[in-house]
Amino acid sequence: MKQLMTGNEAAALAAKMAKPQVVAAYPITPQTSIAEKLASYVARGELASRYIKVESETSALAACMGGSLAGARVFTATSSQGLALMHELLHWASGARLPVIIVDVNRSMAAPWSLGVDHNDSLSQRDTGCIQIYCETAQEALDNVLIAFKLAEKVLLPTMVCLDGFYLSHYSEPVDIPEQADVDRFLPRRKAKYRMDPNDPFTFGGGVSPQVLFGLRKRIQSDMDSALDCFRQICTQFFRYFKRRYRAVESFEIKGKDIALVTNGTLSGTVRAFVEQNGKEKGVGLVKMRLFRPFPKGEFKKAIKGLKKLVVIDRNLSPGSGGIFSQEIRSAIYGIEAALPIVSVIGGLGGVDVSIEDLDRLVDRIREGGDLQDETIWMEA
Amino acid sequence: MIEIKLSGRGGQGAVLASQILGSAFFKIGNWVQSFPSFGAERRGAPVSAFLRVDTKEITLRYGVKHPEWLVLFDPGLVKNKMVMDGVRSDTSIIVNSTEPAGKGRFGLEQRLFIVDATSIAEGLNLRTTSFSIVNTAMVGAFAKASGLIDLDSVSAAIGELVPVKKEENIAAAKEAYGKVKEVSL
Repeated sequence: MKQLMTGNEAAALAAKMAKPQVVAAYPITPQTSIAEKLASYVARGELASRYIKVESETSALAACMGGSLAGARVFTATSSQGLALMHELLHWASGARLPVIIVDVNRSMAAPWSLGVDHNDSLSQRDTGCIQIYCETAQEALDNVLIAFKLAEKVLLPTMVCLDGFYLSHYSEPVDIPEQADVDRFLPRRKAKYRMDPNDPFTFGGGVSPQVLFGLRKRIQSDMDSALDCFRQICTQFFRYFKRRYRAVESFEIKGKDIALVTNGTLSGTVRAFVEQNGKEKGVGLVKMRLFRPFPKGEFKKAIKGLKKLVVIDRNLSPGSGGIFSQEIRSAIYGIEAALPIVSVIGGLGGVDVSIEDLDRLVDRIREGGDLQDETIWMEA
Repeated sequence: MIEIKLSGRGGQGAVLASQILGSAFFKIGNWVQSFPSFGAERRGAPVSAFLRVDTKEITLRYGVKHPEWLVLFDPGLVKNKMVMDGVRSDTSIIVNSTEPAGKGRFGLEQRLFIVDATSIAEGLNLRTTSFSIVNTAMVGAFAKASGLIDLDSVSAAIGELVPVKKEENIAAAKEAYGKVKEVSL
């Protein structure tokens, strides 16, 4: 059944349907309505969960980690500075192999204060060992949260579902609501193999020798690698239950095109509309990145076969380097036969609109501009 | 695709109005996308909300640049640059005003409709301590002026989304539907 809801409402509903035993969140624009919605589910008795009120995002994640350690399914949501405050514990959560689910409603990092979206908050967590999934629509927000729980609890790593602030968190649109019975079958109660239990004691997160630490780090890398296969399998299962198919990398109308615009998050929606309207005439298609960590190298290479140029639009900036997705993509495709030229574009920082007209101008500039490989194109407002 | 902008002052209910219209269009089988203007909303400051309606999925993710319809909850907003940004000669405008002729059409050259939503709301006792709640009347006026949506769907959406005084709010939409008038050039 389809209902109108915002991306935040969809994410909160998915969290409710996943039946976490522990929820802890601290309000921050534009995430607040997720925390509010979950609090009201618990208050009305629609969600049997411990809703732990906390005084900061550090505490929110700490409370979830405690719950996760005790074997519970746990959920938190945050944004921007709040996620930055979680940073220290995110390393801990992945090192301790705790499948915490975090919804990050992307918002630009201060200073200066801004409420608009870019992805620097979540991408700053790149090296923490946290899985990252990006959403284009409110439907994907709902679906990705369900997928995230299953994936995190399978590979035992914290998993972040990223929603663009405002363009997704506050846009209200039709969302197909799954049946609770199907969600229960897709996502049964978590069974933790190791958990903190006074009757069956283990040591968690204690001091280790350098050799043990080295081994555990290597293990996170191999489990991240296997998370790609897990993601694929879980998406197949998801399709069986809910009839919506998802992939780590998705291409749209790239057949017969020489250029692909590569994006993530809600920008993919605008690019999709642009490709539908002008794609044939301009010779462009869309490649959309759903997963950022683990980085789906193999699927990306498959998705771009036959293309002559990639235009990577980053809604983020690593000062001193450039767009983060374009770095990752350069690294992923380095050394493959007839390496593709990549044009790096920075757009939409701080929630600046990127419209169809902006994309039209961008493609024209790239068609006329020759190589452009050594420069960054700025889509300024 | 139809793009609609609804502008009022913080507290007048422009965001809820876009949700009501969104729900009404959705009920009759359309894809809709409704959203508020982004920023820190404050009571009394201009606030805009937007609605896109189409027969197929809408994948655009940016603000409405050039609305086909502009619904103004306060005649003073005609002079507000932010509110009037992107309004073109082919934009149709509906203004809440106590003056039927709208003071020389407020200097507007676009297709113009006027409705006295404030008096309608006051008559039905739809008010807070600081504002008349004109949003449901403006939604009713939009339905009539645009002819894009029927009053029954609008009334049903009001019944579902307005938290208090449902009947009075539906009555406000109906009254405004009957009273909105086009002002000739």
